[in-house]
Amino acid sequence: MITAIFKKLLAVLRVLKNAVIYLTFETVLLVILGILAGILIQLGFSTIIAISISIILFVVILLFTAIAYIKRRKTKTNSYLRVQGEVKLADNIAQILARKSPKEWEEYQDWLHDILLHRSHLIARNYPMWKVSIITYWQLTVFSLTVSLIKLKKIARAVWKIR
Amino acid sequence: MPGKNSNGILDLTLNEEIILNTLMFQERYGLEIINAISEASKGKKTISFGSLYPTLRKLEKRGFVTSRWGDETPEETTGARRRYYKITGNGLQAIKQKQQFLATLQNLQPSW
Repeated sequence: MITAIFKKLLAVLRVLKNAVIYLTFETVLLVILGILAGILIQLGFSTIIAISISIILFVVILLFTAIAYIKRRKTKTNSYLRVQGEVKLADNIAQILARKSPKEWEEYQDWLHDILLHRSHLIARNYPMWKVSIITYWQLTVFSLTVSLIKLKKIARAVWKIR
Repeated sequence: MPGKNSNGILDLTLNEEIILNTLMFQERYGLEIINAISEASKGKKTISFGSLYPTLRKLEKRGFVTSRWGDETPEETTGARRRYYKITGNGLQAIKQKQQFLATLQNLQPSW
């Protein structure tokens, strides 16, 4: 009886954790969307073009996240792999970056390397696994968003030069 | 990876200055820089991954820092490699000029 209640409680906590991560991620994306539109307007783009570019990029980032999430979910078949979830996500990010944006991968792969190194240091220091996962997921989100923004800035600058 | 020098050599942000000081006497990789800053300040000053690497890229572009890939085997899952950063002559000069400027500023007698 107690075990069943405990299991249900754990399941609810897991759902809550995912909801919080998702909401944080969504808020960060929306803030970045606003900042990006502001930057583009400052660069001299008309408001409609700036907002359109921001929305397109927002959708692209969401698609990348969805693909990475789906790929990760497929591998979550047992508890061993669940523990390895964030490493798998890092691997997906690395593959996407190396394939689609080799220049940024060359520039920023040491960041990804250090995120995973930091993860292994935390595990070695006996940090709770759920804390390590949250920290690593957060760091991977910041990494993906920053590198995407850097890439977008480069594209915006190139477009600006062409104009 | 040499880069162009900046005109405003005194235009160092606090994070840029701290990172350059961390690299003053030895080359370090990213996580090592973060740990060194945290350790030296006894946890009072921390620098996140999100601000470290873009700052390192900026410093590299300004010619204050150079980097090389580490000889260690790449990370086994992602294949990502470790990168070591080293301060350049320009970087040392930037720090010296900043320190001289601050010292002059502290001892400046009003001439009006």
